[in-house]
Amino acid sequence: MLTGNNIKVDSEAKAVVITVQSSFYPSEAIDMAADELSDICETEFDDDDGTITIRLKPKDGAPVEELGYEFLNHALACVKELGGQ
Amino acid sequence: MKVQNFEVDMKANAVMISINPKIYPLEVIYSAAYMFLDRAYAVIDGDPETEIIVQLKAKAKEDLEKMALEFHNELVNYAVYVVQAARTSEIRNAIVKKALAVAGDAEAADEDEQECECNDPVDDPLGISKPWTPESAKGLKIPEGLDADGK
Repeated sequence: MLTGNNIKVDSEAKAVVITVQSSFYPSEAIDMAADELSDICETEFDDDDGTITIRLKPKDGAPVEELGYEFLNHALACVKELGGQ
Repeated sequence: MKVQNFEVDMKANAVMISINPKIYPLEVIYSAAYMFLDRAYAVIDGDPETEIIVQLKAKAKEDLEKMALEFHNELVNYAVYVVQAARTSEIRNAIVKKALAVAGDAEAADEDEQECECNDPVDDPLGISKPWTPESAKGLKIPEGLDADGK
């Protein structure tokens, strides 16, 4: 089961939509990552039955796909920071 | 026998690594992935019960196969760390308890000293602990063989 399609670019809206599982990325970590990147992008996220959908829209026209991956790196660092994991 | 559990995607400059969570727990996978954050973008997906997929997308041109193998080494590294930490947890807890107990005793002794009205914790009727001054020597008998200047 190799997926790798967690990050989808919405070229029209100049935004990126990330889908992750809350069992890997708790919503607290997503919240922290969103806060860390609040200077460079606007973040909306929704937790629906274990699947978290995050929509990022860069404020300064930064490359959206890279922003998505960067967000997930921050989220992983936040998971570690939250401890226990 | 499954030997290679990763797939290299040259087009995406990424490698997908499949991990059995029964062998490597999630905390080990997080730690291993964390080590690659400066070189790659890490995405964790899959099924936490049966198969965890870690996608490492290199930030620059990299040997992706080597990166996947390095990731496996990190998994082993952190797995050993977790096992050792579990094995030594009792000793660690005992050391921390002892350190806290000693710190607690010292703190209690400080409090006792502050509570004590007399500032002399040691009985010193001759005043030996008081520093000597020329004024305190006035009126004392000069020992034989010495003049008034003590020479």
